[in-house]
Amino acid sequence: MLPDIGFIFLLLGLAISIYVIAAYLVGNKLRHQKLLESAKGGAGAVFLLVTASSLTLIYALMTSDFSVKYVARYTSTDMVSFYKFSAFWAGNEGSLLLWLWMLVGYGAVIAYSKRHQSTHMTPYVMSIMMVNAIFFFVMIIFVANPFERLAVAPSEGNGLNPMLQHPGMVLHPVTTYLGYVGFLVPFAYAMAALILKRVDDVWIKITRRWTVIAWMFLTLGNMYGGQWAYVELGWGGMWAWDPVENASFLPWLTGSAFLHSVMIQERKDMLKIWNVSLIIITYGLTLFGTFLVRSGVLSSVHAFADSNLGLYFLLFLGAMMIGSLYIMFDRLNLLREQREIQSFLSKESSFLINNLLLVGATFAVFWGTVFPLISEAVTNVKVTVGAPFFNQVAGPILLAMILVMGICPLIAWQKSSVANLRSNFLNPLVVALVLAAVLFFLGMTKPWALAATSIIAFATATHIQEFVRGTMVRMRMTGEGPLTAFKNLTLKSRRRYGGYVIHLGIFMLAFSFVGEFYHIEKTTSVRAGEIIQIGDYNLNFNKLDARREGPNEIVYADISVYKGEKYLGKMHPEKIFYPTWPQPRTNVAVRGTLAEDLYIVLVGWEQDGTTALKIKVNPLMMWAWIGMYVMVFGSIFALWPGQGTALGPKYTRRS
Amino acid sequence: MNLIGINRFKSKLILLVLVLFISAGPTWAFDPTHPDYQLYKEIENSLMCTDGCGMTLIACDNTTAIEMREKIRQFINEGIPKEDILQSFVAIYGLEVLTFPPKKGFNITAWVTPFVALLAGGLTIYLALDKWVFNHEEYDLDQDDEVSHQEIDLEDYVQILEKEQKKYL
Repeated sequence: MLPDIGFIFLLLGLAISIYVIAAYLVGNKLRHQKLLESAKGGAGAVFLLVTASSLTLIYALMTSDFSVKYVARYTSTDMVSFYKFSAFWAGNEGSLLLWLWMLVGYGAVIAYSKRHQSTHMTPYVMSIMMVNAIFFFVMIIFVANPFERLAVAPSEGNGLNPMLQHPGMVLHPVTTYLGYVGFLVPFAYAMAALILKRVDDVWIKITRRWTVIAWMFLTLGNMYGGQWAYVELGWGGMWAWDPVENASFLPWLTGSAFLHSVMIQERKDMLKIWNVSLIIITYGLTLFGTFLVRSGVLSSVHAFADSNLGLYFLLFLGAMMIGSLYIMFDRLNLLREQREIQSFLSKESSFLINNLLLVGATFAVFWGTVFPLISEAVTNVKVTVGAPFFNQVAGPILLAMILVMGICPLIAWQKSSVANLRSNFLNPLVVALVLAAVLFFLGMTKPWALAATSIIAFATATHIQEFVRGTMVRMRMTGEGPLTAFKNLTLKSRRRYGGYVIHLGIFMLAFSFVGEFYHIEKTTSVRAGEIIQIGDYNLNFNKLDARREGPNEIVYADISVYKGEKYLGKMHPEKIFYPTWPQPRTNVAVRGTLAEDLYIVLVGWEQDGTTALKIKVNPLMMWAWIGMYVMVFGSIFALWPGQGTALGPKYTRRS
Repeated sequence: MNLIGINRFKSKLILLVLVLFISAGPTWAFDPTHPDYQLYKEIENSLMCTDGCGMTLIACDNTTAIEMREKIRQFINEGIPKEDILQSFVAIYGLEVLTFPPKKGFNITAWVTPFVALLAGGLTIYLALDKWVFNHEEYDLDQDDEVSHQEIDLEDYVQILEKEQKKYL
């Protein structure tokens, strides 16, 4: 009964969504305040209905109501409550409902937000949001219904794929969707601004916070996905350039480009067409990613299986792109601006290079992702495009991006002089060159590793120098102590220094990738009592043993770990066998330090007790996870309301 | 593994999983200290697992991957060069077995196009900047003739500029 009510909530939600669009548009045209208020109430009602529907599905999942096909397919009675709950988004149907829930949630926040009602954009913004919501309602109701009932309820469910029973896979979809849906907000405001022929930077100012939040969640989504892959897939890395990974990386890249290029519009009233194009592309790429995950056109270990939703997403993507590009081209004459830059050597031009590299990386990743389809169409052979391609093509572009990130903060708006550059770059350049020389003589001879480390060191040094110089100037001018000066400096310009913190997080992430050049790996079969030597580690394989946890049976290797002679402790790589799932789950054992991860996978065993282990030493891996939280901290720091969030001066000419 | 002393549950369990999950083979890969270790890793990184699991060989540990690794090891021990080893897999499984498009024929466009696009983008930006800087210089020349009309605005402008440039001390 309850699942049927959940379905009825969705039907009502769909009907009210249509009403919301009509009421907003008619109310806006007739300036009918009551109708506009009614539309606002409708947006709230849609959110409440989808919330109620979602809670209904969650209740069915938690109470193991196997009369619901989705519940029977993705849960079993022996699962812990946490994973029964997370099964909500484990399958296609539930994940679409989660997406819709977030979308109408964002919509309700916009509808009820008092801050920007005076811009008259809300009716159009909400209409665009609701068009998206209606698409998801239709998909959920008619194509992928999570409340579909079974004629006969089974006594037990299939259970959740063990690989998804991991905290990383619980957080990854939620954060990724928050990012994806978040980019719909600036897109909707951009379209609303164009419809209203308001081509100033109001829409950018309104949506800046939304954009940063969306970017932050997409960062978290990508990183949580990487963390899950690292500890769950057992291949020893966090990023494999899989099509689905690429799909969520693409909007991250264009979103990053957008975050930077809007600053030019805010400061100089330039790049209006480019900014609108970027947000259209970013929004389109979020839909493209969803299409890829659900279409099966490209093989991926992450994709949803047996889904025909891809075609519908492709059609919707096509319709939204045509619509938004039509509006943009129709308003092109309004978007043209007075274009001038004082000097080639200015922050404005460095932002353009930044955008070129970010969009260039986007194109390279997109091109590589879809190239199997292109090659199949042209040559009838669907070639594989994997990590070696992306490392060689996108890798150098992203490295150049890090270099530009290092240069950009030290170039002033308007114009920089050569003397100014020399003074700003001398110290970071010396740091980078000295470090490169030291590392070379210490044995870092791989050119790309050396180049990447030097560039990261340079960029990090420029950023640290910015903090140090700013603090010193403040100390000199105000007489404050170093800590007070540092605090006031950063708090009074949180937008700027928050951005720098985010950059530092990205440098840490990039630094962790350098470690990949020097990872070592060994796959070996051992018997109890044998010692495995890898790098500086000596691993004493004590035994293969087993234990039971609830209904699950766990086979694990007991390994004593020594670094040289020093005993570090025991590690237990495992395979977990579930009664409801044919394949065991691999639980990797990781011992991480700032210098390196020792990573052990229990691969298999034979009847005579011979045990196969895959062992890796991954240098610098922990810096990726630290970088992730630094990026999140920087985003929150930059966004926190209060003083210091305002933009610097505008450099537009007075007519 | 010594099963003596393990309780009944564990014995049953081990027997069960031995039947279900026997996959350990001999030492498949080269030791990191082996002179051919880097070559082995390069080849492993260049191939897909061929059983349709969709994973690269370097990431996969299933039976097919184990057999492929053993084959690579044999080839390397026989002194066969990297390209020939890859070609031997291509001959059996087709181009799809490689983790990257070959740099010849139509597939070379995979490698070239992103850089061509980047160069085109770079050229566009250069031309745009050239024009925008020219626009600015032209405006400045015009302003020289009308200084008196713009004095106040320019003063404001300089103040703002100085304020901003203080950030770059």
